[in-house]
Amino acid sequence: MRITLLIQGAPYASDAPRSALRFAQAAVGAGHQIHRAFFYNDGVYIANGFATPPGDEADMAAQWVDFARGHDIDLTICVAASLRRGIVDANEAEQYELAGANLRDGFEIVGLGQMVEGMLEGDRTVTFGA
Amino acid sequence: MHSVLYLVRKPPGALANEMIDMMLVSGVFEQPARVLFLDDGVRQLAAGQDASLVDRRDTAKALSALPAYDVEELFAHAGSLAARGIEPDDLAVDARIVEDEDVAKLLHAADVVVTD
Repeated sequence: MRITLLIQGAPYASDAPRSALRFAQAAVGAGHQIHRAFFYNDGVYIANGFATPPGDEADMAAQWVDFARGHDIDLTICVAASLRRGIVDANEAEQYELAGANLRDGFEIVGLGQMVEGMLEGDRTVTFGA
Repeated sequence: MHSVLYLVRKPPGALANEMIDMMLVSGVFEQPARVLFLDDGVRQLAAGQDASLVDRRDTAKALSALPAYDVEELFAHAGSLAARGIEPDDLAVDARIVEDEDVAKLLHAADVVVTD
């Protein structure tokens, strides 16, 4: 089964990214395919490359990137939600004349249409709310 | 094409508007989409909101754009409205009033349920 994930909770203010990752690991372990994880609302904070959690805490973003690389999963964040929260790639940093880019390697900034497309293409969509 | 039910349970606010943006994009993609307002979500429908008082985008106004994007089936849960003292005939947006058993039917009828 092809599964699309919609993750809307922030990494340190909610359990959404952690729950979603555990779900994705279990689903892949059971033979399913996760083809896209779409981070929306405060969920986009996962892609803030400037986040530096203390060494004795789990680094959710690093765990997501490791898992996604091993299983060919698109990690995508919504462009409008990201701009609003200050997660930008080099192009946007230049376009909006910002001090720097902070999009974490492994994540891609996309439009909302990619989420709707994922909903249409996948057999199931699972939402992890705030 | 997979049909989607947007299950709205949160009150008006910035997060609500981001969810409405997603509904609009569903409309653009011609995805069959319905919206069910439940619990505090029904507050998004209440008439007489003035979002400018708290420097927000107007949620009810954003919702009223949905029909123009072919997202026309909006549902409001009767019990949630009653619990919050919102009169069913005093909504800012056209929505069909539904009972508890209809909520279950709407959830079952959708291929995808997106919650806020």
